[in-house]
Amino acid sequence: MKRVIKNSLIPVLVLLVVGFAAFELNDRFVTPIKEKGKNLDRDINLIKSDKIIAQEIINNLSKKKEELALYNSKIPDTPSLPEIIEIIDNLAKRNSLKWESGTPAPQKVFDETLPQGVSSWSIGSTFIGDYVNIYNFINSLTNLERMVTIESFTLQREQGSFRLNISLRFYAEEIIQ
Amino acid sequence: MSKELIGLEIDGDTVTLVEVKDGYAQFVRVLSTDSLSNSIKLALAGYKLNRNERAVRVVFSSPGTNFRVIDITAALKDRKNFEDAVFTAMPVSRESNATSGIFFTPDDMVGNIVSKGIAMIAPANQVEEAYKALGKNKSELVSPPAVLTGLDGIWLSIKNQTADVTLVDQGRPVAYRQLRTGGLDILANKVGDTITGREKVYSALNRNAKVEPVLENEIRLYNQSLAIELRQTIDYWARSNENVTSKINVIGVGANLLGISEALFDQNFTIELNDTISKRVTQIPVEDRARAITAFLATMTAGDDMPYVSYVNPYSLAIAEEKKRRDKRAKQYILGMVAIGALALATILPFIFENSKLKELEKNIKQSQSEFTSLSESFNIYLDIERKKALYKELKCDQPDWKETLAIVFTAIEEVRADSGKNVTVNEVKTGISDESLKITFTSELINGNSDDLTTMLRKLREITGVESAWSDSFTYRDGKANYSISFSYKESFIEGSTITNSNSADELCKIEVVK
Repeated sequence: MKRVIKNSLIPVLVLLVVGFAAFELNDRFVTPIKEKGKNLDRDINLIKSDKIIAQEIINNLSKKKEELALYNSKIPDTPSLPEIIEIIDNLAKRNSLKWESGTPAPQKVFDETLPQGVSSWSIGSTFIGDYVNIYNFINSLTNLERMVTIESFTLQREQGSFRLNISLRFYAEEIIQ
Repeated sequence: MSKELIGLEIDGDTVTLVEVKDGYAQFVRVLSTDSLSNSIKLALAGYKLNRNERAVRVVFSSPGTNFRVIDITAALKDRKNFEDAVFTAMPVSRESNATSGIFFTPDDMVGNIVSKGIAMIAPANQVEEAYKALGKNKSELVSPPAVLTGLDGIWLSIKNQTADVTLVDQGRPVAYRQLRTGGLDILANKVGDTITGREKVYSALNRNAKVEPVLENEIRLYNQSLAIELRQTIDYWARSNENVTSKINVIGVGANLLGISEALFDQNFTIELNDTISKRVTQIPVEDRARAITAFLATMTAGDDMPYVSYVNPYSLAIAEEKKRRDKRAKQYILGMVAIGALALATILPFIFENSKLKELEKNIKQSQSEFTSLSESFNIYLDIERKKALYKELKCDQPDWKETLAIVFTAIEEVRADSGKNVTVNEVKTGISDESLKITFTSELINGNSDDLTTMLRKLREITGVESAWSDSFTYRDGKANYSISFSYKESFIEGSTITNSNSADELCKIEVVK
């Protein structure tokens, strides 16, 4: 009986040792290669899908360039502060609103909630005009060629018209070279 | 086609080999050299003894061989118990004697059943010497009675070294005795030295031989002594109630000795030879038949009554031990090789496979990267668009619909004006974001207004979709004018996580999905 146990125990032990050694060697030498292979495989697939996208861009290059230009104008790479003043000014004029106290100076806002690489500037302005003009002015701010957001506004009646105090913010994606 | 079988008889330094085919003796070879091992070697020359075939039975006639009928029990299946029983039956030195035996009814060796069998002993040193001479040839050394099973009668075997007689009854050897008279060598020693004496005796191995008077006289005395001793033995067996007859089968080299028949006849014996056996040896020369019978019977009984019928081969034990060690080493080696092989299969092969796969992938990625380089400019346009789009949505598309706040205030005022017919004016509207809601506070002036108008105004506001709550901050009445300060919170456009379907639905860019 002991002999049978001894005879069957040795191969089982050898099997266990071989199994353990195989596991260890696999873990040490084969698994890292497999992992590397998986990553390469994933990268190849990504490149493939990127190639398809790139090909699609090439096929619609002019349209895509227009799209990019549109977004670049909404959120430019540089603040272009005079430009934003001009845009607001033009919009006010189109809506028959008057700057009450000349063109204001934009102030840079340090906002940690902004996405990385994005800077914003705040501008506070006062306009005089009637309700309809002010309504249209605020409505038009939504679809400006430069993206502008409203932080707050106050409307006060003043001798048959209204005084609009509005705080606006605009943005630029400053590319770090 | 059946194969030739061989059997051997060792008689001192003389070896007799008989080749048997289809149960008939074909060939006999007798060799006597200066050493037993040489005689065996020469006798077996030309025969390839395959280790897998059955062992060659060798009848070993040695002075000192003894025989007893013993009781057999199941316990005797154990070799040690068997040896104990043998030495109890024959009180001789254990160290000097080797044992063998036959169980007549081995099937009865169960429980407490007592059956019969025989035990034989032979000098251990001679058994050892014989096995040593047989070397690695697979052999089973037995005493003469062991090959006479099934051949009823009295068998007188006259050999060089010994002369013995075996009684076989009902197929079983039941009595055996080595005659004190001895074999032909006793006679040879009386007529010459070792070589010339045997030559002289061998010249008389013919019933019609002419020999010198001195030799003839010695032969006569030998024959007489042998016959008288045989008579005494048979008579003793008869008195012991053994089933004996006066017919004697005479075999061995001395069976043809001049005057032996007459001497036996004088003791009232008649010589015969078992019919079956005599027919089986007709193909070998007449003068060799009698001496070949024992070796022939060895061939025919090889493997019978094993394992106890043969003496233990001390060399085979050593060889078996060595073989066991070799087998163990071989097993360890095989196990080691299997383990290495398994390890190689489980590690090296996957390693090679994965490595070659990796190299292929590295090649592919290099190719893909190189192909992509030419497209990277276009892809950068895509990345720029997606990045800007994501920024736009994050910064713009969650914005509240500011203009709607104005519309709500003025719509509510207009409704109050229409309901009350009173002149209502809005003096101030303040907007701002508070707790994720848009908070709007406005002041209005109503000529002849009262608290009911305030209530109406609040109700109107609360009925508007998106207005979460509306409340009065202050109410004054002076100079016929009521002044109200009213606030409400508006959350229509503050849908959490909203990126597309928000209040800026007018902004088409907010409807475009962003690829993350």
